[in-house]
Amino acid sequence: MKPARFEIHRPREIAEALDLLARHGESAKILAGGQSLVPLMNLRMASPAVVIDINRVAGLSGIRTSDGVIAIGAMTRQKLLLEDEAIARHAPLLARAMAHVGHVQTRSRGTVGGSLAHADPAAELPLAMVTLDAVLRIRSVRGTRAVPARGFFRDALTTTLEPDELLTEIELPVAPAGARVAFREYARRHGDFAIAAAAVQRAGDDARIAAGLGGVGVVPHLCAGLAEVAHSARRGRAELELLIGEQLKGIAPLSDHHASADYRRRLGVLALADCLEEVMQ
Amino acid sequence: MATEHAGAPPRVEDERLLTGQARFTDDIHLDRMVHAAFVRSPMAHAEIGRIDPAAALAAGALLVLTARDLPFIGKTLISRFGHPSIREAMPTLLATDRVRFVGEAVALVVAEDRYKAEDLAELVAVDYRPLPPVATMAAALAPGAALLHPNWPGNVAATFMHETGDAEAALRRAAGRVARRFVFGRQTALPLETRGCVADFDAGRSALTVWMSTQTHYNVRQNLASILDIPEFNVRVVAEDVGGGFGGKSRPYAEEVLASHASRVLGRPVKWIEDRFEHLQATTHSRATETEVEFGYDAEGRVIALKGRLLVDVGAYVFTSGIITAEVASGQCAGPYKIPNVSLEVVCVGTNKTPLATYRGAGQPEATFPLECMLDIVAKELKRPAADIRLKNIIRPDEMPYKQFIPLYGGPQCRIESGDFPALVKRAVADSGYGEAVETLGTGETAAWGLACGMESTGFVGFESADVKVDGAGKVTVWSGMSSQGQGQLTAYAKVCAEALGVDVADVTVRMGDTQLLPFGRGAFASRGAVVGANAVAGAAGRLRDKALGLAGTLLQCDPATLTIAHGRVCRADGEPTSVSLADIVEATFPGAPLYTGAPALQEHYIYDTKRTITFALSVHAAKVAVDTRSGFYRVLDYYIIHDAGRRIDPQIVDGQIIGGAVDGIGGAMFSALLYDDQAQLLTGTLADYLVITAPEAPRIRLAHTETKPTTNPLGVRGVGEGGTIPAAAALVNAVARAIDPARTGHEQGLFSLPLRTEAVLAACEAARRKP
Repeated sequence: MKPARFEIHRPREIAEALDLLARHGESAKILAGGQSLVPLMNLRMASPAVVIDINRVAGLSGIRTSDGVIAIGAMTRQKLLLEDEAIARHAPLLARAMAHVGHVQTRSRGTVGGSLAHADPAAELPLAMVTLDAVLRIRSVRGTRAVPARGFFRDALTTTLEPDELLTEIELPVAPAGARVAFREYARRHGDFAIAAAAVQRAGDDARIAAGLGGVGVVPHLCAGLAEVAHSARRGRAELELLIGEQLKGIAPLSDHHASADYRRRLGVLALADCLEEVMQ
Repeated sequence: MATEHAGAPPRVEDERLLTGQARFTDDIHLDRMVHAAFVRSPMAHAEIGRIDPAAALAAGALLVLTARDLPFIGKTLISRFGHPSIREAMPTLLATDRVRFVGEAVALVVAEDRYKAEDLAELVAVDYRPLPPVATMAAALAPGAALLHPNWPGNVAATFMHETGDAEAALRRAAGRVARRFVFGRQTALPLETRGCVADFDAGRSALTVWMSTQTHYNVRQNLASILDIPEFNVRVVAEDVGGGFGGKSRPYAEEVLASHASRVLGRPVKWIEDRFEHLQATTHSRATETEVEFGYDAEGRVIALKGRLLVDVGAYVFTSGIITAEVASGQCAGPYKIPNVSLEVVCVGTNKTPLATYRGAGQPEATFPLECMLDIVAKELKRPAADIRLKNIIRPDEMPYKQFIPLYGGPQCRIESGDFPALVKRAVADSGYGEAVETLGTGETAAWGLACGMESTGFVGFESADVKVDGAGKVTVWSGMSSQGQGQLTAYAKVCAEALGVDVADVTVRMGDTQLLPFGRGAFASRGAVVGANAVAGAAGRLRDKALGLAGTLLQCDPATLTIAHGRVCRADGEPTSVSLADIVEATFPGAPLYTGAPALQEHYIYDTKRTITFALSVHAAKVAVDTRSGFYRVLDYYIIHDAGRRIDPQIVDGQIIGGAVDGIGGAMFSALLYDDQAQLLTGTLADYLVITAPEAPRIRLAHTETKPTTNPLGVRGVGEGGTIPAAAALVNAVARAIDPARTGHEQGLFSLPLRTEAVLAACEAARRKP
């Protein structure tokens, strides 16, 4: 459990980090909080020739709120999302989701951007960002682009990030006044990756509903058309579960030794139904 | 529990352990030390062709050892645990022509540091020619299965029968019969500190010193000496600080022999620290049993017949703990109950998996799980309270000593000599809140209680040595042949010595875990620390007290019978201190002093002998579990234990053992499984996959004690290392089964496979809903 030989760079400026990425591209990995990369390297499941440690890069962490947008630096430690008052007030769903992410120790090191770039199918942060329609700011020496979270995750552990690109910031719309949120997760133990997790935000008066499902498929699934389903919540639980089941038909659930495909789907339906009931109350 | 011991002094070892001052194996750094890594088989079953170390050597490996490089390859590790039914199949120290499990060691690579050693290990070219893997017991027993060893026909490594009375006839006349199948998944002891060693061969003295993480340092010494052909007195094994064992380190392994040999070849100290990835493959596994069992009972609920078959997946070899799991799991099949007719066929089945050995409970959780779940089924069938069925069957005090018909451990008599078992069951029911109704919680979950008794057999391997010495300052040193993995023996033995000798605990220093301290010892396993180890200390200290009083009588010119010792000072019978202290006696007996007799005066050696008795300890666990019948998720709401540990030398340590054991048992029942795919590849090679209970899942445990003194040992103690673990799975599963359906049976078969997956619980809920 010792990593293979690698070269490490510790840039202090974003421009320097981007230069390194441009130079080493495919053979490089970015070290953020190290909570996924370091175990993978120790197991030699990842053996990058170059590691670019961005922990010392100025300006990549912190949470700012202005003009109805919350901007979260990619290197912001996950624990800050649980502690930050602006998050609690303006992105309550994110705060709810964070309670399920790992443990104090992993949240103290793990970063928001790291979790998104790693793109584990069962991770809570990608699910929350997809549900909340976050926008990801991405930079490279070639320029800057903004990618909606809903288009960022392509497959398990695969995103639209190019080898020379760095995720620098995540922007979330401030939750509308009176928004109701719910987050439910089934995991084998507290803090484990989800077998199935659901995130729902209902925006105040106009009853706009955003709902996402994680852990079941290879990427977080945005459940479009759940607004109508949600209204049926008042028509009984069994019917609600049936309708959600219809919605999830397009997902091919993962199957592994933690849970079978059918069970994942079942738990996904339960988690979503519970969330919908909670926000419709 | 915390409040009960709030004012209790910390354990003697706590400051060192909690402030990072302990010296674990990886803390040992020697001059010129080099590092070893193993090349381990990635295949479950394969022939080995050529092994070519050239690339590794060319890239800087200091040494590569393969089977061909070992002059002692004809020798294998010595097992102390034989059974007449075993068909011998001990692995060679490195694989020769065939590998039989993923993780089997093929070569050893030594380099300047562990990083390089791992790089170089990847360069050792091994030509594997795949053989058909045998991934399950069913596959192993199927006709035409690939054979692991020529002397294992049908892949059977050992088989024997436990038979008493006439189970078949008793089943025929039984008022009712129930049959079920139980699976106890493959698990591992998983100490926080993995195995490891630092071997330092001193060529000038032909002497070997090995610092290592083991529970059985003397057994390791015996193996190092005999295999490496070094006189035993020139081999020193030091295991003073060991970060947990739980059975995983209760035996010798090849790695310490190979690291020692590498040190001899290189003339440099060699360190090998097992990483977690290796640990999950290469340290022995445990549990892995399947039990098919039928009970016959009379109209009153007395179990009159037990008939069944116990399959034990022993993996690829019969390793250095023999088939102890099979022996204990079968020997304890009736637990604390009177079942007059038993017929149990035991089959140890070979598969392409890591060899099997012990883990906390060592066969007893595996026996208790079917037994206690079957009693609940009998109760439901008869519509009787589950506690009543236990009271009907459990051994009563007036029936003791009760000789269980079954031999345990191929030797000591299974004689249950004392204890009030019915009282424990009654108190558990009265004090826990136990009831047999199902509650619906505000969350929508259903909640119910489950009950299970567990009998722990303690003090197996019946000899241990101790030496007690008083120095010229009146300070006392205790040397023990035991080892400690953090259980608290240093505290407990200091207390025992202080009490027996008449000194203050603060004046006693205890040392153990070093073969240089005493010529003979065994180590910490089988809950023998108090039952055997502490009694040895008490014996030595008692003898020393008698000797000291004899000398004090001479010095004070009085009858020693009128004297006693308190706080290290000789006192008159009325408690009045005399002018003579233990230090004075030492001074008076020094060479040249008046009472010098040619031998050290205040030092005594004692070997305690259990005389082939086993000391039994009973506990009753009651678990309250909430089940979400929509998802199958369940959680433990409340957990009560009543335990008879006999005399508790240090109540805080006893509580820690029982609570820790119960959490281990609950976690094992809920989460822990070593899973293999159909190619016998280990799927759970990291702790992200092999799940262990963590604090949020662990219930708060309410612990109560009762105390009956066993007659087996002078201190009146019963071992406590494993009792907490033994009934936990059964209590939990009985609660889940009752929560799903309190009255009926038939839905629960899927619950009898551990660990209990939430998916299986959901299936059981659906089965119960489908029933008319």
